[in-house]
Amino acid sequence: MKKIIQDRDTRSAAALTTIEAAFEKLQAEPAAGTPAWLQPAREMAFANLRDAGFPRVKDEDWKYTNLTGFAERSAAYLENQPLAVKDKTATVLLGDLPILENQIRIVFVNGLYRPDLSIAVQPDFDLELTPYSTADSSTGKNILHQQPIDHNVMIALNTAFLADGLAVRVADNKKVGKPIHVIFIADGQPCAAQPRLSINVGRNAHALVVQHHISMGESLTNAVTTINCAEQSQLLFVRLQNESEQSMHVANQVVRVAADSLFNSISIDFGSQLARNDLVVDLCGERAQANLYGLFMTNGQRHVDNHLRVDHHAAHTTSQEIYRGILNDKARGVFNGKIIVHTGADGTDAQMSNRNLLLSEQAEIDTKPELEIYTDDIKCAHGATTGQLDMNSMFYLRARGIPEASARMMLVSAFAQEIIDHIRSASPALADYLSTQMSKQLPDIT
Amino acid sequence: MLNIDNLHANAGDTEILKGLNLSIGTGEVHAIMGPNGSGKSTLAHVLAGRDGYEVTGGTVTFLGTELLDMLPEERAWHGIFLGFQYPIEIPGVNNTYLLKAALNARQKFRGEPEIDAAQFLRVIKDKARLMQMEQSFLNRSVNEGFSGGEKKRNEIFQMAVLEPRLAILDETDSGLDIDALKIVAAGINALRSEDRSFLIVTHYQRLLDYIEPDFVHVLAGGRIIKSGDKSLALELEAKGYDWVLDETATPG
Ligand SMILES: Nc1ncnc2c1ncn2[C@@H]1O[C@H](COP(=O)(O)OP(=O)(O)OP(=O)(O)O)[C@@H](O)[C@H]1O
Ligand SMILES: [Mg+2]
Repeated sequence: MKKIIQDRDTRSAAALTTIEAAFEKLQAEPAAGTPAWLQPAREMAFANLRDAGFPRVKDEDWKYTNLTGFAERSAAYLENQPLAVKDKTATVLLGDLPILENQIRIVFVNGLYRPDLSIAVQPDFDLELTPYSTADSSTGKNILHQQPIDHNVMIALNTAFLADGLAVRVADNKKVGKPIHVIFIADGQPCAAQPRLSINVGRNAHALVVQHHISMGESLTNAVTTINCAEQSQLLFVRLQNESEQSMHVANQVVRVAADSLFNSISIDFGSQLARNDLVVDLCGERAQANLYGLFMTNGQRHVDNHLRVDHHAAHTTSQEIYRGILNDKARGVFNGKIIVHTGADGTDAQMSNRNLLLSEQAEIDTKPELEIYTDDIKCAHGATTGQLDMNSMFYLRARGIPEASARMMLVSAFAQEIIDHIRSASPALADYLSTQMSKQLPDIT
Repeated sequence: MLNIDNLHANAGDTEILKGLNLSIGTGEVHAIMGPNGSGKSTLAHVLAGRDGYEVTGGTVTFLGTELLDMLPEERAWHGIFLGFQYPIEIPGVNNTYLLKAALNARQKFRGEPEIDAAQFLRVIKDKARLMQMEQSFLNRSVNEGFSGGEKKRNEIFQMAVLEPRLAILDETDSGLDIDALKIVAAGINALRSEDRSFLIVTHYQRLLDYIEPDFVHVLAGGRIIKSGDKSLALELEAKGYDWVLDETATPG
């Protein structure tokens, strides 16, 4: 056992050495077209990455998820192509996607903005969608200024090799009810895509942003999203990871929610061989609210890990986390939900639930709710359940004449649909698309 | 239509049905009464094919074929319907969708094309009206948030749509108020026909005031210990079960 542990850490360290060489090569001859204003941030980020190193086997946060393969694939891809690669097949992948209600579609391929594939809105002062590659130096510095640069090692990796990104800014009092659809494609060429999305929702403004990942082949994605919700704002954020079954996908979202604002997030993982998602929410103003929903479906030998962390920093803040997992074959799932109620966050209400369906004997889930509470006046509840399909429901359906396989699909679909339904009123088109994607997977998953 | 011959069945390690005989002819209505725990629901479940029971002896033929070899869904396709004593809630599975899928599965089994969508909608609207169910119930999840009485009404509604050959109704009358009882009874009576039979499990004679049975049986200790016509139900109502148990007790 000891041997293996050493091996994995050694391999991760070797990958980092390769990545360092790639980074130095890149600094020596910067790629054309990447914004110069990113340079200082990239250097700082790389220093952080080198100091921290990839997660080690003993790292508690990575206890159940082995990132060594991800580090090695990153090294292999970055060694040859330090920055993004032009695509060949993006249009094929795009063909299947819905056009959502307000038509806005911003497309990135292998990390680079693609105006030719995007459908943008008219320039609008109240809703700015700024690809980093089009931002001048002062705009760029402003965009970076609002983002945490070295929050963790994966964010540092993203920043160190950042080529492009999208800044979404919704002006004060502006209500954008319909979805801003941001699509990140990794087309499976040897490219370590580092998608970046920053969202700023102004005071008393509303927005709906969809961060949608699709890919082909052995793609590699390390996505970072930073979100600021100003006072009295409302944001519905949908993250949909529907990459190929050979993809490796790591994503971080860092969210700040100010006083009297509401952050709703729906996080869905259908694809990937290895997916790890970290959602960190800071309720930093009084009466700030977060509702975090999640759904993942996985089978074969695939692995999905969701880590949530909600910090209640202010009084009368509320958070609700509802995550559901569906696993078949030898798939492995991880749910780690941490709620920290800090001193002074009186009147906090925090609820967490994680329900999982294990559809085979060999599927496995590690679920761990964690509460850290530093104040008295709070209401907290958490629960986790893991089980098979309800036998009574199965018999009821079959007694009506539904064949066993269909009955299983009906029940699994119903279980998943409850999460998808949280999107329906905001974007029926997206909810329908998700339902279809979910149904497509059902025969394999059940 | 249905012939149960010397049926023995276990639930867990306990023998519940201990040599049960019952024969139901086409178009007949049979009522089964009996003390709590005597095995009535067990019989219903075994006939419908629920897991968790082990048949240790005896045979059941339904319309000439061996019933016990079939999967629950196959039994349904052959015309068995079970109205549950405790209908469960299935969140996220739409009532109408369930019925359509059930009918189409049966069509497929029969080698017939899928049902016509428009005609199906007409049928379920008619049957919902018959059961005095609001249309909104059709679009809700199966039994989710239904009151106890509404769940029972939904069972009969489903039966009306599926038009089985043999309906096994397990205490469909329990928990119904007088008005709902009349509606349920009317729903059942509307389905009575020459080629459809009923096996009605009940504790109360009052249901039989509305649905006149051809035969009444007493199930106790895992067997049918007495059979008669509808007057037996009246007698049971007046005198309880003890006299039947005494009368049939085997000496020693
Ligand atoms: N899985 C099981 N293991 C052991 N005993 C069981 C199991 N399931 C049912 N039983 C027992 O079988 C007996 C018959 O139960 P059943 O539900 O058939 O009775 P019933 O006649 O329908 O009663 P009621 O009138 O109360 O509905 C009961 O004593 C019950 O406790
Ligand atoms: Mg019973």
